[in-house]
Amino acid sequence: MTAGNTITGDEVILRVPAKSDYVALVRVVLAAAAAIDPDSRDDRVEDLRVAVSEAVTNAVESHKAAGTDSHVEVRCYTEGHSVEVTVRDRGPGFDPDSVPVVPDAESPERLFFENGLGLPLMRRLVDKTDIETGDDGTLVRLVIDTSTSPK
Amino acid sequence: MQITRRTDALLEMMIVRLSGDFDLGAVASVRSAFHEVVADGWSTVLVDLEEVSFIDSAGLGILIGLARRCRENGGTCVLLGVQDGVARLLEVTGLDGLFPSAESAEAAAVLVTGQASAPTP
Repeated sequence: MTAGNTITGDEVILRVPAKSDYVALVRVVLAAAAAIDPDSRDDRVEDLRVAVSEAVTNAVESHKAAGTDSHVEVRCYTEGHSVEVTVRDRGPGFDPDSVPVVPDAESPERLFFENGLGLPLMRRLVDKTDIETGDDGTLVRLVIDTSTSPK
Repeated sequence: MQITRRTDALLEMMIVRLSGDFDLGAVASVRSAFHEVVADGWSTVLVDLEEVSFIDSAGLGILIGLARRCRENGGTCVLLGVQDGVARLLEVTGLDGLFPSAESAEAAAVLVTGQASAPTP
């Protein structure tokens, strides 16, 4: 969607305080941007809305854990039916492979897992999820074709 | 998020009605309300989601916590008025099997007790 520094689609950039109150604001803006494509499906825009909410929630909590008041940066590129959203935080990063595996719903242990659903949800709802994480923060990239049926 | 508690005297059930987006911003207040309900001795709690059009994993986590405490106390957590977006998330996460759902408090009473509740006078 982007070739070097050349942006071929439309781009929306948000810098929001790392506060829970702003998660809803990002959802509204991103969903509206995705819905500009007349062929976008409501259910796919809704899936993107949830995935973005998960990514921004993780970013806000990461900043809270790190005690930083840096803003969270959200970029949205749209081109044709494709939407790419990146969420950049300046938290301490994490090891994606160390995230506990949530037990199956049938397992008695399932009710003891109140957290850890965000990452699996992102991966389940959008077409592609990439995570780059390190000491200087985490970049989550979500890609979805909003004209296709839900996965 | 708005949170309203009410007791249905006839059905002897606690109903917690939520209105708004059930996300990170709502977690603290809803968790507190659920803790109070359980602390007050209610083991079966009806959560009315009719006015909740958005939920994410933060909200789902709070519902899971309530369901666990209800079960530990011999009861259950029943969801009322589940909207399409919330239903989709419950289905995608497989949590729909953990949460009985009903269209009304009366239907929930039937679900929980296995018998029809008394008709309203």
